[in-house]
Amino acid sequence: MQELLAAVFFDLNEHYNNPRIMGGFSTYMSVTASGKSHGVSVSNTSVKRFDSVLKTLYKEAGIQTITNRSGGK
Amino acid sequence: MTVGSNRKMPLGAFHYFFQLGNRRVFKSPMRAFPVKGECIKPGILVVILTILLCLATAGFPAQDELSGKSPALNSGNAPCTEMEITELTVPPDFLIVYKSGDSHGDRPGPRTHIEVHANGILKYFTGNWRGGSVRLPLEQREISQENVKGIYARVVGCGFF
Repeated sequence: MQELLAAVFFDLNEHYNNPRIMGGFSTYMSVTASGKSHGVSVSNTSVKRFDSVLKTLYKEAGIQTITNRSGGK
Repeated sequence: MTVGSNRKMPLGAFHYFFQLGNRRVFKSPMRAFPVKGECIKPGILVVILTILLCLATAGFPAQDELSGKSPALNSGNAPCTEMEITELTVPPDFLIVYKSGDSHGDRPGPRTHIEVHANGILKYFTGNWRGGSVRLPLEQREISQENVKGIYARVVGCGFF
């Protein structure tokens, strides 16, 4: 199974950003597993696969999602 | 098969290609092909072969030159694959860290820090941060191995790395 997973892995890029917006809000996620490490940063744009991992992380960790930038829930 | 002969030959394009250069009798089902006593012209043959080659390769997906992977998958917006959690084993060194906040790192404001270790240790902070050199006051608790598996399965299914 692990070999199969290794065969179907495809990388997310290291950076996703909206070039029209400087600064703003940024998110970063890094994953380490089986001796491999990969980090992805997303700024001012939406990346579905990144968001999907994030949603699961919040859910499995039992943490409520912050829905606005002011820190409210 | 020459004109006037009683021998019967199969119909079809392959017949033309193999009989190229010979004057053969051919009963073509298509007007675009040579008729009796004619041989297919090399120029037409090249055009036909080019069209066939284009049709054959049109079905292949475009490949990313750098990674050799489909750009649609590499865009980050392709749907994730649902993984069977029961078939997965979380590596002992598994660690996922998520951080969010202002791009200018030391500004005060909303921050999120979540990290999950393979052994289920969860360290997190969500809220407003004072900024500057003050460290985030991380809280710590433990989540179940099923939760860790769920996260790992999603990471794998989304092709994170």
